[in-house]
Amino acid sequence: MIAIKEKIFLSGFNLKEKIFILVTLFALIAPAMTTIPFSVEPRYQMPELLVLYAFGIFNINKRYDFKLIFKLVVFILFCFLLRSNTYMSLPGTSMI
Amino acid sequence: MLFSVYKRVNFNSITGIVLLFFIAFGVMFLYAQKIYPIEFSWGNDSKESWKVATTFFSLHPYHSYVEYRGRFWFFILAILNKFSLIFNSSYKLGFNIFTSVEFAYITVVGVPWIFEQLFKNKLSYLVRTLFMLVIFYFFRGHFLYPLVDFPALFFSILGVQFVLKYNQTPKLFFIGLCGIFITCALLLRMNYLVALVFIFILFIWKLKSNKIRIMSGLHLVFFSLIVTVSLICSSIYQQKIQSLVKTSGIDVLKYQLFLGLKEQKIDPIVFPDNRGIMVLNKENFNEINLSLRQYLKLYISHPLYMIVINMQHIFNGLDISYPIVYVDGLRISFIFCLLNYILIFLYS
Repeated sequence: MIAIKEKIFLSGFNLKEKIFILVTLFALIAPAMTTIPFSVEPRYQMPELLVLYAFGIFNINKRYDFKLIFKLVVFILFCFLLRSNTYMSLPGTSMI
Repeated sequence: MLFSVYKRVNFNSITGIVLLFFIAFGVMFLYAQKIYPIEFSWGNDSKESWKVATTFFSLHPYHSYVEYRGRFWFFILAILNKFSLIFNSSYKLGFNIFTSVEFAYITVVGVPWIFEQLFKNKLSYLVRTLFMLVIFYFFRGHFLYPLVDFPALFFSILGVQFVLKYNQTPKLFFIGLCGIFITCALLLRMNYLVALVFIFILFIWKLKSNKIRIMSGLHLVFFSLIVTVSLICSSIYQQKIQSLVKTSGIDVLKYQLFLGLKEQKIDPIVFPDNRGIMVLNKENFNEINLSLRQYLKLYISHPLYMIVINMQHIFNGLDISYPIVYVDGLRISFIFCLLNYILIFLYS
């Protein structure tokens, strides 16, 4: 099975098919994206997470090597850094 | 033993999917009925929605601010409530069945089917089960509240499925169903109007012969009629509601745009947005209404701040901390956050 990511960005699909995929996915997530300027409750963004998780899980047979794990660690640290920014806006609130 | 059962069931067959659907349904239903009965903790919108629904058919119905989204959701809830009363059971029974069907359909049938069609890639039994379990782990509690977010998504997924089906086989039946489901999503949450643009693009995607073109044109008219009539009905009712309910004259969109600058996240407590507050102070903006035009003007005067504020909103929206909607205090699980980041990374 060819990984989904490879299929989208490298081979397997032509431009027309790529646009078709994007349009379909946007039909699912665009309504949630309209709530971004509002005060955010995570339940509003569930459709985006649903699509991201689906991509992640349906693409699970990706090859795992040291480079990928290093990127994962950097990504997680970056996320926690961003998260701490939100939590530090509350005086006296710790990160976790 | 479980693995051998897994191997025996051919997931590509309908039987396998039906079996998995009932497993997902059972898991969510058991969780909702027995493990996590949360009616005592329904707050804010959930509490108000249920109050409106339970008095929906009575002579003196209860009215609330939650009705700004229209009456369709309360109608569904009222039917579910009546269903529970018929069986003389817990008033949540009907709602729990509905929400469990919703969960099972989204995780086992809807989303995997869309991905299969888009990527021409058969998904295995194991992958579908894993997807269902992941959604259960992260969002299990979100399905237990009578809120419109998930039902709207459920109907929109059905709509997208039928427009894709129409793309494969152009039949009036499919586009009719697509129209009905997208209308349901629209009646629950008006922002699904945006999805309509993409649905129309998918709808006209594969026009080839003249016959198909004429047929599609007719379908488009039919589809537009359903949506227009339902929107007009909804808008008429909303005007009626606004005269009934005191909403302090606040326009919901303007109010939310203003709050979006003052607050960066509600989860479950409100996290203030210092950048947004600074921008509002700089512009001497003290009213709690902020029109879309004024909001866009802020993009011109403070582009960097506004981009950062909205980027942070995206991150905060994706950065979930709890599997339920209403939480009493900060009880954040490090593992929960970590797994969420890993899954997002798998996409990137």
